[in-house]
Amino acid sequence: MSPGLLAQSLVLGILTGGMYALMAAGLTLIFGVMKVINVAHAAIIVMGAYLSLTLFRHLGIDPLLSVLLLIPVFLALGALIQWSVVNRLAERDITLTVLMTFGFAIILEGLQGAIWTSSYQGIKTGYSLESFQLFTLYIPVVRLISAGISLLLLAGLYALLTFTKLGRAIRATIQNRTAAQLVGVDVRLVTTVSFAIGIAIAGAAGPLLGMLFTFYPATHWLWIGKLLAIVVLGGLGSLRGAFVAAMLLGIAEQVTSVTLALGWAPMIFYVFLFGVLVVRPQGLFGAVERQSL
Amino acid sequence: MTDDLAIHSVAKSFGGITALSDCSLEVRAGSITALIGPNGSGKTTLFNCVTGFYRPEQGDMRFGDAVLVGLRPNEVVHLGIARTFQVTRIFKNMTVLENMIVPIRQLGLRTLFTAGIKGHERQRAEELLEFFGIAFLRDELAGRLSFGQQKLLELAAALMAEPKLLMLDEPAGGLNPVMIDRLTAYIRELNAGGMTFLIIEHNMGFVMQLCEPVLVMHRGRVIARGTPDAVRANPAVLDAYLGD
Repeated sequence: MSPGLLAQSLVLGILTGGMYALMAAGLTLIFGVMKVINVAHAAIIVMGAYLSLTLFRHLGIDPLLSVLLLIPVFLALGALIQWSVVNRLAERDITLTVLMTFGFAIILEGLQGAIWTSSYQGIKTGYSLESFQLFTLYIPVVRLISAGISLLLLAGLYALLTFTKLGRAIRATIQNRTAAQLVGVDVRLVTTVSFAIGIAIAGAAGPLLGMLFTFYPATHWLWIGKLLAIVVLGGLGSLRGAFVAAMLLGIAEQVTSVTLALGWAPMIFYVFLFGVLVVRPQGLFGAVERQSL
Repeated sequence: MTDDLAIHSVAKSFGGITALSDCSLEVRAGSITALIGPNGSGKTTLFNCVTGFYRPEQGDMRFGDAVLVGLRPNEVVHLGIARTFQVTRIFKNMTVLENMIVPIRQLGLRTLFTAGIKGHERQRAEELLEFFGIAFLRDELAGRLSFGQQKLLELAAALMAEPKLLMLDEPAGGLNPVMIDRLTAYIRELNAGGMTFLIIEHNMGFVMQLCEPVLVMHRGRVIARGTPDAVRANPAVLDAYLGD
């Protein structure tokens, strides 16, 4: 492979990885705080894509603007789901939440099929096919914008976790739930807010997904596998890990698709995931945690 | 009303195994009360009930005027009761200073997004770290500290919430004699400042020189209460430890 082609696939990989990181961030945050695997995460992202498509087609609202509009909507939705269902189940038996979110994914899929039909969709704006040249590199505008927005949102999340009281409480709850309660952290409030933030990020990733990829109601099954792989590779609950793993997946996909064939791309990533888990079962940045009272 | 801890007829069982049964005791404000008893006598279960980690099936628990039954652990902390665990519960991937700053007075919706560390919080954290002689470790990751240093950090972090009652679960466990002497001195100094202590401990030397009264638990209830000497001379206590 020529150096130029390698550089091109690296750039595309990084741009795609940025968006993968945003899609996986909410999933790993929710797992970190609650130990809940949100199987419906990708279905929520696809829901964001459909809502953005509708806003674009019927009201002419640009999908980039709909990212901002969808954040508060999904924040409220996340808080409602957490408070009304997830919290109750999580307190009884955490494993039930997998079944519950699985069911929720199927409900969302059915709802999307009923409203928008099962045909392939994509959000095509005036700048969808535009690209520009940087030295010898060819940069698609939509990919650059979606990576930029993803990084901005992730930076916002990082700042929230690092510099605010809430962030301190979330990090404490992720590291040791018992100790967090012990020092006065209201873990129920932290849990609700974290779940809501996780769902809001998923909603925000929807329009970006819709601009870059075609989607239909059942697409979320393809995505949730990828997202879970990213989260597991990075280390369950680690945002930094999810970011690095998303970048690795993005780059691995692009480089493999130009050197071998597009079909090999997921396999290379999963082989890498398998190898890492053999050596580090907790993932790249995951912590081994003792669970006892 | 003073901040006495009053526990009356508390019961707690786990799937048919009775951990606490008709358990009653009182911890007077300003005392250093010891809670001793053989393994499995219910001491830690009682701690978990008082601090909101377990909900007792029956009985009444009060701290001053406040009813404790039904409160969540963070609410108990805000009433002025802090605790430590047998196995330290610290945030191992945070620095020593961050561990100190995590304690939050009240996390309401209004204060959620306010900026991190306040000046007075940092100052108090530094003072406490100085007090326990671990200030030089402030920027070290807590997980890298020695076992004894982690115990001191947990104790220091518990004090950040300015508790009135501090419940320590085997504070001397695993500490060397020099550390135990230091710990004894710290507890005395804090107690002289008005803080109440309830201490579970197996190290009898530590208990006998520091605590009064001493409460003895056996099979989920308190079977003796008195001065260290009186408890030592009590035949029921000997039976509990040696088996009857």
